[in-house]
Amino acid sequence: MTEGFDPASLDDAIHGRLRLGVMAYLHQANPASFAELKEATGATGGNLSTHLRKLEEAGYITQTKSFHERRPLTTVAVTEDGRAAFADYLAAMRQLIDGTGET
Amino acid sequence: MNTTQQDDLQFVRQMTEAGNKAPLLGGRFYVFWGVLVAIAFVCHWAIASENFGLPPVSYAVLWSVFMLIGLVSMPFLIRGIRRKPGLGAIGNRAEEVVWTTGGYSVFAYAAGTVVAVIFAGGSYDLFDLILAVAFGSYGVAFMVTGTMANETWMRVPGLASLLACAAVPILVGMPVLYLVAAATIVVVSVIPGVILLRSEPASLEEPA
Repeated sequence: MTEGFDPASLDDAIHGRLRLGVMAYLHQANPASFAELKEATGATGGNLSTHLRKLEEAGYITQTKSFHERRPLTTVAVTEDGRAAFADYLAAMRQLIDGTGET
Repeated sequence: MNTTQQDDLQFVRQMTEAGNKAPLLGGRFYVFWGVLVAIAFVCHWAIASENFGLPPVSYAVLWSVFMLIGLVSMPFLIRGIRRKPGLGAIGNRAEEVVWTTGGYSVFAYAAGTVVAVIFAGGSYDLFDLILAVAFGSYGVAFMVTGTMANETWMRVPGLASLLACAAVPILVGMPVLYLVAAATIVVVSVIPGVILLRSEPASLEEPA
């Protein structure tokens, strides 16, 4: 492990390929529909739901369920806490990468 | 850094780019309003030129019908993009704000002009200058939308709109102004709209 890097600084709620991908996408396109995130990440519906729930429980996203033309429409939005946590996560990753000198 | 971590970072980069490069979703609005405005301008020219013997009250009928069609149609147009991916992308959010605000600025100027002409003896030429406000708004909207969405080609209709804005005071008071404006609208609204529609992604359905 890189000297000076604290693994505990990586947020467990974000530290996961799919959750990280969702946060990265929402950082650029917020809000996004569930179907949009499913297509962008390539995840299955069930897997995506599980990870979205973890992000929601951490307070990093909100999920709003509604109906549009009598069909379900789930809208996922990143919260201010989520934005801050993602920025902190990237800063921690940058520290790790800079420390090893790798890209 | 191991291969899995590199794959994860590559995945995050792909996600970031996917969100950032979401296609613009305003194409249908450009085409709809472009066609509607162009038809209205040709009708306005037909009244103003007096070639068809239409009474001045025709202006009121024309623009009332125009606003009615626009107001009734907007909910259907908005409904059509609700399930499109990228609706929350910065380019689409900027596009919505600048075009909506541009529309409000045209409406505000038009409302002020009606009041000025009816109650303050304002010149009828003030109506023609609505086109300058509209083309100026188009120019700003294209420049902002194009910059935020990285669609550099939008500078072309943006600059064309600003040129049209400059041409309006030169042609003010002449019926031909509305024919020129109709042709310009096709270039700066209908054609860009068709370009955007061609690259628009399909709507996505949520799994049951």
